[in-house]
Amino acid sequence: MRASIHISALVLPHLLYLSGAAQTTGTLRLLIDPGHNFTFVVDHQYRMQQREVTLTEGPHHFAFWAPGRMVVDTTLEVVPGRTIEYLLHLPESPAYRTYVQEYQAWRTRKRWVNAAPLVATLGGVAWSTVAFLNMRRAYQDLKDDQDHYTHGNVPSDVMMLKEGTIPAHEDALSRRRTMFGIAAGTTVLAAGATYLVHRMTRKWQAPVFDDREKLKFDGLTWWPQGADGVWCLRFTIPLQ
Amino acid sequence: MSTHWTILIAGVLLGSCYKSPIVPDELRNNPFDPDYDGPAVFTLEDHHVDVVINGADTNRVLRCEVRVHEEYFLNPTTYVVHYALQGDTLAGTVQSFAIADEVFTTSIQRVTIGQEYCIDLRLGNTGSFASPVALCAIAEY
Repeated sequence: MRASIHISALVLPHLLYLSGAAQTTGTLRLLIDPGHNFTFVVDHQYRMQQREVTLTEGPHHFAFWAPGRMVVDTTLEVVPGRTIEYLLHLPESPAYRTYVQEYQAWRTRKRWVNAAPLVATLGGVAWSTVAFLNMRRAYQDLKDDQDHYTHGNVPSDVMMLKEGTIPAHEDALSRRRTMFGIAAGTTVLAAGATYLVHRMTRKWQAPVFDDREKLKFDGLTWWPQGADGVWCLRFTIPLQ
Repeated sequence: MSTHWTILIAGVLLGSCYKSPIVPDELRNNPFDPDYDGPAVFTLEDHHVDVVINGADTNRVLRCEVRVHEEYFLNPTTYVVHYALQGDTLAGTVQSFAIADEVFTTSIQRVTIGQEYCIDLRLGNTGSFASPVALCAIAEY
């Protein structure tokens, strides 16, 4: 986690920031990629977050930056009474690319480590369910045998039931009960492993992005606020 | 972890619920079972000797009234009784529909007065019969 502390000093009159349109001003329409969170500093002083800016005619220095992108310095010419579109793609910073790769690798590893016992648990539940149904079927077979014995009126059939069918069904029930016990035990072990692994991986620290470009971009800048503005000095204290 | 213990205990309980409902050694209460060891299904209700005279021929017939205890059947059913005279070729079957009030009569021809005769009775169906039960009677007036 990072915390940002802004130390602001209200100083300068708003004269420096030309939001009104005069005869000697022109407008720049900024088409920046990424379009949603870029920031720029005009003439090393005025920090802004807007898509259009009206300035006095002539060359102006711009420094563009967005989180995870590199700072791009350029000079743009403002033509009086005209709106000029400026198209710019902010390249990703190598540090950000490395961070994204590390974060994806970290997330993938965490997912796999979490998924393995979870899959084993789900498999165990499915196995236990099948084993339980088989055990219940074998039990039902014996109940049916008992019923057949009660209704049996042919001695040879009764004898076959007692000497062949019932022992076979008892063996099947015994085997299936053992199988159900193994399946249920495996499921419980897998569930326990899932719980422990989840608890363990919750403590894994995600890689942190150290945005050097931001440090480079940040500094003492003028931040216009309506008719007035403030000087901003930003620095970051990592609290980890 | 208590959830896992609950699952484990539930599994053990489920497993123990499905123990075999049958104790094979206790399956001896069906009269059609060759291993039947319950109360006697056949009892000798009565017996007597009839004398049949045909000219010079005098035939003493031992008539045995045998009761079939259908109340020991586990379920109402049709049946066949096979009877055979021990030490003789006399044998036959009686269908349940021919038996009134659970009693039927077998006749042993040309008996000697004072001699004991034993009949093996077997309960069955479709040509298959349980173990024989012997009923004996002394031919006497």
